[in-house]
Amino acid sequence: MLKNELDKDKLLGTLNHNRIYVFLVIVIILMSIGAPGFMRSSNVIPLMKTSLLPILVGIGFTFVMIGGNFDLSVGAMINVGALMVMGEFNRFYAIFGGEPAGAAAVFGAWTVAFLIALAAGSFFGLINGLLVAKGKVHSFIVTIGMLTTLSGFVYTYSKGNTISANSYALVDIIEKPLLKLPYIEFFTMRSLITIAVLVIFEILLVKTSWGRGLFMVGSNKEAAWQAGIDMERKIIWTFVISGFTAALGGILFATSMNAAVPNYGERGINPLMLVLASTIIGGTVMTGGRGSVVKTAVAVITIQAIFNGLIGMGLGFDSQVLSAGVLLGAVVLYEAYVLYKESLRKGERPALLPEAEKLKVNHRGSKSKVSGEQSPEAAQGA
Amino acid sequence: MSNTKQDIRKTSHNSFTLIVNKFGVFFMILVLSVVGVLVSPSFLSSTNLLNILNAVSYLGIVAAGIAFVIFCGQYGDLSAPMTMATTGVICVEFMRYGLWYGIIAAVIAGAVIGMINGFVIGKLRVNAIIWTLAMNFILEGLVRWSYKGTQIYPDMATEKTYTTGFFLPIMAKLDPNIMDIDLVSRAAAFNGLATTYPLGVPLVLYVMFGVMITGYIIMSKTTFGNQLKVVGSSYEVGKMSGINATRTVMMAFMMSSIFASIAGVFMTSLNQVGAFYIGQGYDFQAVTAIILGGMSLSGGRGSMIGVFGGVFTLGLISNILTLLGIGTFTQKMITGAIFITVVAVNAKSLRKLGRDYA
Repeated sequence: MLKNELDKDKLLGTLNHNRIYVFLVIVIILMSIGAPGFMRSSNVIPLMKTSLLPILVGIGFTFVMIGGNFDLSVGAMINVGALMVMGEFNRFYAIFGGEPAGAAAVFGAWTVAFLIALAAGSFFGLINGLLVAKGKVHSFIVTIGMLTTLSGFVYTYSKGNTISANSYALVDIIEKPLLKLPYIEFFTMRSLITIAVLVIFEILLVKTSWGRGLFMVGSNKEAAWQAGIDMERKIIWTFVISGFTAALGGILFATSMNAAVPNYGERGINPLMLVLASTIIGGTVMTGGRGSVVKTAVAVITIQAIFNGLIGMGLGFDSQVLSAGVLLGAVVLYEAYVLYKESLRKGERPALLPEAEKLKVNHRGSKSKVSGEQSPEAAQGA
Repeated sequence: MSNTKQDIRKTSHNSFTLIVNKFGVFFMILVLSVVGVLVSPSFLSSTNLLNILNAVSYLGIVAAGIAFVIFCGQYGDLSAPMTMATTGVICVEFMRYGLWYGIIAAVIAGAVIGMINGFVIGKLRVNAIIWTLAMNFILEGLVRWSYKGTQIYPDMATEKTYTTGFFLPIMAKLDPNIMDIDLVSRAAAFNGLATTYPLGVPLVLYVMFGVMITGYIIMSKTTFGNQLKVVGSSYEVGKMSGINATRTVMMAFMMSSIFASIAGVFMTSLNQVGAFYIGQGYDFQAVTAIILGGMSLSGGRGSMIGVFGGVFTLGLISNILTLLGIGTFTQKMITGAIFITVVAVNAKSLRKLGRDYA
């Protein structure tokens, strides 16, 4: 009987670990019934394309969360990446000679702008990481301060205006479908870059000793220290990765639109909410030490599918905001309840439970009696 | 790590460090005042000082509430902005029956939000940041969904007004005569809340000082305040010494939400419109003020006097930067940078003193 119970626990645990795939299937089935034409190619491709930005941002966010911290500054990092790539492109395009210089100027300017924007994101991430790891300040405080600083910075950088690039050459390349077939049309340069980055970081997390060490840092700092892991450096790297991926997301998003605004996500659905919800739904534990980049990405697609389906059912934009909030709240509550139940059972040994019942231990001060009962047995055994 | 490295923590405190730690914010106010006088001769005029205080009075009310949350060892209440917006909207709905009905309804709504926050965080021990952030998004969704993206004006009474909202449809169903209420005078009374100047000082300033003094008494002079301090210093110790830690944390969050709802009513009255974006950014500013005021994020340290100092410092910084002709967005950037620096220095000095980090 006990064995069966353990098996049941194991099965439920496996199901819980892979719950996001179950979620996705359920959502797809429900939305296909509720909103006709949900699975049509013309609906699926925009859905997947809106998921690209949160997927990229979610990579870094998951890394930071596995390390046991939070990065609330990702929303501002997106804007930093988006605005800087546009602003720097225009500057260097002019320096390299502008339109008369031809393709060389476009290529050179985009390369420099990409590098500068990515460096900026990584740099701000590095500051976050240094303050958290070396300064020992709580990550929430550091990143919320960074959020404010950066949102001031992007407005000052753009003077509050929309910045658009002076050349359309890159949009044509980055948003052009490789094959003009239904569903396959999704594969553009942008989506391929996103998928490649996703795969690289998943391999880094799961297959390398660096990634395994990160799990250890998140789940048990003491053990990680005993194992000789340089925790501070790992934490710093997670924040750098977060800044890098968020900036990359912003860059790709801006180049696909050929424009960047300083207030992206301020009035619509907050990207931070989307990423936080997907990371937690995707199975990353709030206290760190467990998580997966791919599952976060699947969770992003699931949430986008819910949004898309709600629009398809004719419920309007505001129902999206509500559903996202309620979903996040429900998942946080569920996770908290599980952790609460676990904390109640701390120190319990399931294998010893039947024996404890046999002993009939009285919880109120009958310790001496129990030991008295045990001693003859011990004598017999000897 | 302690077994490999020598313990470098000091056991005897340098009294100078302690004074700086405790009254650092007032030292900062002194320096800023000198800078302000150098920048503009009209800085010390009573009109300017009153303006500074008036500008931060809403922040002061919110910060006084969040101070309780930080004092009891939770990292902050990020649901404050949407609590302000939600309670403001509810106040506008209920002000149809009279101003006091509106204010009482708003405070009750705030208390309910705080109770939910407190229960989840106190009982289930969720990370306060994640839960209050989630709560913020839930409330935002509720307001935007029930108003279908529109705003509510206090003096608006068309047929359509009573079809959207939290309680308006129910009100219209229960009492069909609601359309005949003299809404214009009631709306004028509501909008007058933020523009009343008893004895030449804004009403909201009196409220801020009232809230701060109440908060000071509760935090420093009552048993509940002491319990907060124990729970804030160490949750386990508080629990083992017989304090109902769950209830203490819950009360702290209720204080935060009730104070936020008072600020929300005044903020809505100032804007003369109830909408979901009222109060945006107040969470961060309040935490900044509280940290500047010497309250430690690890809980159990600091006082309401320091919070007032922090709030006043933020007002001074903003005022001086405006006098220097620096725009709002650059101000935001500078405030954020100051915040990060202060927190980092504060954490370092606490470690030097041999205290835990935060």
